[in-house]
Amino acid sequence: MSGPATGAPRGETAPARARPSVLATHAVLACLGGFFFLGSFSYPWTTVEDGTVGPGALPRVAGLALLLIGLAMLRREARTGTVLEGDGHVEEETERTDAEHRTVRRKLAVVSAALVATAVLIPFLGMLPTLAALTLFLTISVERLRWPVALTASLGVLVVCYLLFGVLLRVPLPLGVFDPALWGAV
Amino acid sequence: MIDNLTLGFAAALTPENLLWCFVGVLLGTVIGILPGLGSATGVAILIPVTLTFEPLTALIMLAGIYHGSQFGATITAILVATPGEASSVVSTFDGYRMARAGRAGPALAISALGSFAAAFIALVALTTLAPVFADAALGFGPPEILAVMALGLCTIMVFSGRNLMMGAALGLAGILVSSVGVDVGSGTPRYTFDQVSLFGGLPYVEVMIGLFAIGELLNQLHRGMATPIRARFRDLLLTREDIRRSVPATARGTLVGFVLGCLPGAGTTLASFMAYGVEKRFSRNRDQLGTGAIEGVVAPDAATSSGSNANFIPTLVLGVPGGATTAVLLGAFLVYGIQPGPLLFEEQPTLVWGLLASFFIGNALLLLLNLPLAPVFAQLLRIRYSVLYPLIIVTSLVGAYSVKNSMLSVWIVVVFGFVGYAMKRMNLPVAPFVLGLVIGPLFETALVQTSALGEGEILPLLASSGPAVAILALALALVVGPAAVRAVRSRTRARRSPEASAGAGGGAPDAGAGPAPGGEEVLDAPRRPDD
Amino acid sequence: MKPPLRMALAASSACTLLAGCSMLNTTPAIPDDWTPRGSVSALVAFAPGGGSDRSARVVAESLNDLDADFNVNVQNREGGSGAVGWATFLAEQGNGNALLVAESALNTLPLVYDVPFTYRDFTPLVMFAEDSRMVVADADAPYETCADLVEAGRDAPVRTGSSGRTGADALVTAEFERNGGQFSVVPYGSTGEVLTALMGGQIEVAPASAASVRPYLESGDFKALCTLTPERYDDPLMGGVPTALEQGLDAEVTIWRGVLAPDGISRVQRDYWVDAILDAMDSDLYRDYIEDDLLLPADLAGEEFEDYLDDYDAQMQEVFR
Repeated sequence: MSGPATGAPRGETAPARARPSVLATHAVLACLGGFFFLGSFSYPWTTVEDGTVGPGALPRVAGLALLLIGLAMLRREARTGTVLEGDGHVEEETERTDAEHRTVRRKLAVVSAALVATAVLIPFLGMLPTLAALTLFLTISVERLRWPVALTASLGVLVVCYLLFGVLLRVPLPLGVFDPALWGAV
Repeated sequence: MIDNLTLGFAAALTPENLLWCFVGVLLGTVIGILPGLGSATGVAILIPVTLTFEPLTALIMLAGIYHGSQFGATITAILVATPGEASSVVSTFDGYRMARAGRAGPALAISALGSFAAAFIALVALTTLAPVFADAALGFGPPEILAVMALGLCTIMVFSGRNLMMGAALGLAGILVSSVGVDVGSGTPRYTFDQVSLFGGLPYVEVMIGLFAIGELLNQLHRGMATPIRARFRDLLLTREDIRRSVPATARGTLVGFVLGCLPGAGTTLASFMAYGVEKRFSRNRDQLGTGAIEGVVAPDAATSSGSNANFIPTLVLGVPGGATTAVLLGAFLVYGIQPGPLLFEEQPTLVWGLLASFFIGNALLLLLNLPLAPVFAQLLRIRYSVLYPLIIVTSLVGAYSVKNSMLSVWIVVVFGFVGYAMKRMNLPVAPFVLGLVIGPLFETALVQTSALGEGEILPLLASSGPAVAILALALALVVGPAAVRAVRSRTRARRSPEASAGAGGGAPDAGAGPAPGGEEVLDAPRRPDD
Repeated sequence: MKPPLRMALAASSACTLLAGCSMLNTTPAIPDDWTPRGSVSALVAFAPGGGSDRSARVVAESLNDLDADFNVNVQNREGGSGAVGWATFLAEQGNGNALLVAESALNTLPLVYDVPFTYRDFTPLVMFAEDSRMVVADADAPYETCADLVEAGRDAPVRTGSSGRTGADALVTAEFERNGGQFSVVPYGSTGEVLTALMGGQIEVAPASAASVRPYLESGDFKALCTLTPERYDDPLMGGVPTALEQGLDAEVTIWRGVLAPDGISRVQRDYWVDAILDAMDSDLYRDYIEDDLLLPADLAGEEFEDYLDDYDAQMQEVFR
């Protein structure tokens, strides 16, 4: 989805100037600032009735400041490439082989996809069944643990979460198709 | 005073009350451990359970939950970088590093000890001088709160390390993200794109679960998973050195937490961040902060603890909750027919003093419960990460959902999990973003109120308030000035080649808050020098 | 970061809505002897600890004491002065196992903001209480009555506080302004904060509920200027406070508190809940609540409540014009 891939090229050593990942980070921040800055013009600077600070003021100032800082950082990076820590540079792990890289990347992709899939499925399958399925999937398919271990973990998750959230805290967790209201009426 | 306390202890020390206090503390710890479910939600959920009790017993149990969950939230923050509550985010900075270095036991133990000491001091102040502090807090109107929030925003500088621009940028990004939702002053929905679910804004508890818990988890997966830690027995215990270093840090944290706790609305999250900022500025070992220094664990926890106890000052004396949880507790008071306010101490002495006495008892029980348990909790890290991380995902998602019973929360956790992972991969400091997110709305509220008081003008009111000017001067002198000087200095030192960047921290004789790439006591985190 | 986030949010809300609607719309005809079973949610659009939350807990507890086959749980879904919670309740369409405990802001909020609901999107069940406001000032303040306030407000705006732009405090200011006074309003988060600001001398007068100002009046910190009830309170302390009407002002503020159900529930379901809630209002808990919080008891049910809401909304349209 978002995030992980944000302009983070691998497999090249950092050049002295204008590293793409850093440029991308700065550009994203500048855009964020610009977005809020421009957006703030649909809200008044002061509240009309009493002249107090309005809803547009803070986002306009902060948005403009972020836009300017983002542009300044972009300029600095493009011109000098001064290396500062925490500037958005992605470090390289040299000690890894390509094969290891691929495994790690695949695992990350699968886990990320599983997270999104879980969030999509919860309204349909209910919170606890979905999460138990997620645990089962992660432990078996991704981590390749043995069946008994994986099953125990998933069932454990189901039972403990049910006891904690359902019974003790009485959180109305979504039930999805297992909602008795749905079946009780049939 | 002593009479009153004796009365209180006599009321609180019945076997039944003790039992429920213990149950409350225990339940609270469990609730605190669950990500997202903080003290506020825990107390709110359990109020109906206590409805059948005697008022004092019920309040004692609720207060136990309150104290317990504050502490429980720290446990997972230290062990697996999953803050159970916004105020324990800071514990992930150094506590998690300590845990990864095999010192989870001492980190948890000092957190318990520091919290207890801070709570004890705050409670003594609370029981003896509550009305005095409440009076002082009354003098803190919007202009003064505005100055405090400005000071809070300045602390972003402390958290940005040398890359001041990036820190400021991320702080601003946090403020901007926090402006999503209905505006505090005029009530205009901003940046909601007609999505009513966004009217309440992006809830920061869920954002933090995403940034920290899921972000760190993905990061660990990327780095080939954290290895199980088998700490040696002596690593599980506090050393004399640990305690020696913790005492001044606890004292500073307690003070910061108490002052901010007295102010209605400032909350304990800000207190924990500020306490960490103070350590970065004044601690003798400030160079080690961020690499697993014990001061960085104990000071924020002490601040949270003293702050959450000091929160009861405005709650009991003024009837204004000092934080989200005391707001819920205030609701519970009303359910039991207790109307906080100026006459509370006179009209219902048994109840109030019993409650205060139970705070002492609750904190003592918490210490008794958690000090021996610290090494036990530390054993959690012996679980294989391949089993541990699915559990972290599951509890994060259920926990986030339970905060508001909303699927939006689950999505926020997932999305900000990716954002957090990206930020970690790119070495971006997360703290300024979080701080901006927390302070943004508080700052804007104070801004709007000040301008409403000054009929549209802000500066004259600020300038005419002595405390506000003093706080702003403090902000300039202690935070902005030194940070700017450091930034300029480091900028002239920064080299152009990437090799030099590694050398800049380790090689150069370094006076500032030092990044410590490859610091020996850090097992797994040579990067993110300053988050 | 922004667009994917927004899309995810949009997608998620779409999913929840879709899921909610598609599943619940498939429910077949409701039998005549329908009763709710299992868990019933009572949604409150405000945070735990506030007045709405308290009323919801009283209603839920009283309903649970009926010992029927259901268990009412209060759910807080706060945000956006109530907008978030009420908008979420739209998704419960046709669900007989969902209740909404709401108050007048359900009328006023849609008049002020662009929200996807009005009170007509829900089924009124029972109005269980009416509340009003009092106006208090510091004991040393130069005002004695609300008429003084309005008079002073003609020359220069009087500084007051408000706990929300669509709440009862806003109604008080609006009423006084209609009588000719001018007010500058400092926004605060809650009535507690407003009263603290009054204690701290940041504002001159404060509107607040009778229950919340009572301890300050007893302690002598504040004095009451008037109540905005139609008649004086039936209470030893509050009974001494004149109404704004007595002081020659045409000012009155009424806030309703009631229980609503989602749109599209069947006649049987509606009747069941109306009866159950009216039964529940016989409880001691409810009576204590009305007495302790200085509320006016009310028991408008079904169509009567609906008519009341129509009238109320017409009034509010005048006020927020």
